[in-house]
Amino acid sequence: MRVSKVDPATAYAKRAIGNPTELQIENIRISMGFDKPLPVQYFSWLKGLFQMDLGKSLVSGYSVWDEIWKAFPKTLLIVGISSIIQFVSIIVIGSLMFIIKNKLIRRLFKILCIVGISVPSFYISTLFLDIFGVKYNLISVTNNIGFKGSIPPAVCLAVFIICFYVPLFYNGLIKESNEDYSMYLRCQGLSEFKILRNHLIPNGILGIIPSFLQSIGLSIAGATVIERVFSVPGFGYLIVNSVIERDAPMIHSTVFFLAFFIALMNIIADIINERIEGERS
Amino acid sequence: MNKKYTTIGISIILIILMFMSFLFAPNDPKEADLMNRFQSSSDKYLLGTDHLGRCVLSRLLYGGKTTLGIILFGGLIIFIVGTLLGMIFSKSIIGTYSIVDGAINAITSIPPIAYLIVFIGAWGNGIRTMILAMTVSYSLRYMKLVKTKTDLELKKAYVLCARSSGASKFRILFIHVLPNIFNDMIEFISLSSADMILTITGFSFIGLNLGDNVVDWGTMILEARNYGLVNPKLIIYPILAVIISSLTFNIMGSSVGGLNSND
Repeated sequence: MRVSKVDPATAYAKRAIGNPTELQIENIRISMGFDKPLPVQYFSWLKGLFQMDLGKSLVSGYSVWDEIWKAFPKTLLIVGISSIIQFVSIIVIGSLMFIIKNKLIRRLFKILCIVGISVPSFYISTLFLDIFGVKYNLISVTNNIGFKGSIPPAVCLAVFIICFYVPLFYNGLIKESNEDYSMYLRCQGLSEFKILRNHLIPNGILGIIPSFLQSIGLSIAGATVIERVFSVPGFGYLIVNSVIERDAPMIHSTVFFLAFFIALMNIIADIINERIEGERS
Repeated sequence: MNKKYTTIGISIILIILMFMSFLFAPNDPKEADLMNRFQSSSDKYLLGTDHLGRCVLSRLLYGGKTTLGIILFGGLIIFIVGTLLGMIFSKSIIGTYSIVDGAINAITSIPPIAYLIVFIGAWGNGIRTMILAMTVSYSLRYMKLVKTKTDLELKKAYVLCARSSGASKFRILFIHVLPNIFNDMIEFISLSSADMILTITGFSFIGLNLGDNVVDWGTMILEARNYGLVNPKLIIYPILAVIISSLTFNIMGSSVGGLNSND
């Protein structure tokens, strides 16, 4: 970040004063600490991180910590709702594909999944807004906050991941149904539906859950574009805005938080994965 | 088997067509003509004109050159750099160090979008930044894939045979192991190319474009959306181009991946 050829002090001075003189730029540079060598700047940022003081945003003037604190729950709500939608629909669609023995319909599902991961999420969300927001006036076009407002972006976020995981889940189900234990269950006279509900689906879920948890972490990053389209003042919006405005303290902190959250989800996924492996063996 | 090779062949031809067809563009994509705004299709402008009177077809073809150019160039670099690094970090050359494994896991867990944000934040938006961010993030992931697959292959019996007949480490890696993991490599690269197309157009759609005077699909979609009520057809063409190109990469990737399984 600091290796950027755009000088943050100059950028700030131009925004605040309009046509700054050399002296004014120099004063701003000293007051914001940009004159010190890079390691010193880095350690003062690190020190601030542990004291929960990440400096002030160069654009709005508010504390970076407050801004993140305000924006993060909104994104978390969207991602949370979205992952519930994803989880339920992956299981439902995957099982439907498994139950329906018709080859043509299965093919159709598979093709739909490939199309689903090829359509850009921003187009799905603009289409969603145009149809439900503008034409039928069911949802509001801007200011999508709160539980109800978070559902449309959550749905748009979910489409890609659903289409990505349904074939994986379906293949997992097929694999499980060819295992010895399901043959044994069939010999016991259990109906196909019962086997699916009580044995195949839980095992199939175990197969996809580690990578699914990681994808929740990635959804935070994926939400940037969708939040922008739905004008949700969330975390992704904050990141993109800070990048457009060259707001250095904000970029540092938001990227740090993004990486932190993704690392957290990865660790949780690893722990759960180990538990599953332990139970199975 | 034959069917999959046909699919892969068609995909490759389609990608090359989309990349090269700017040579046949009928008009200059940047030439604005304010007298001819929102024209419907005619002999001169096959798909009509946009809000500045520019030829939509030419812009579409040049946009393909920009987007697919980034991806083909990036993919080549990812392939070369990632393969070399992955081979170097495999067990046969540097051995097993949990520090190396941990570092690779940590770096690759950061999503490409985060790299893109950091790089754009540092160097501003532009084609060079885009290529750099894409190649860095994806070649790290690709490197991890190559490393894992190579480690798996090294345990197999044929490597032992090769080693006992006196083959050097490099011969084992590049002549014996590489052909066996080649399909996985191509699958990964073409699936991530589809991902890259979506990311690039997504970013230029929200305003972090490839530069002010660059023709690309994301910018076209953004501009067309502002005039969606005047001419809704304008948004369809670039969206279709994006969908077709990423669909092609996805289908190619899954067909290459399917070559390994015997069905």
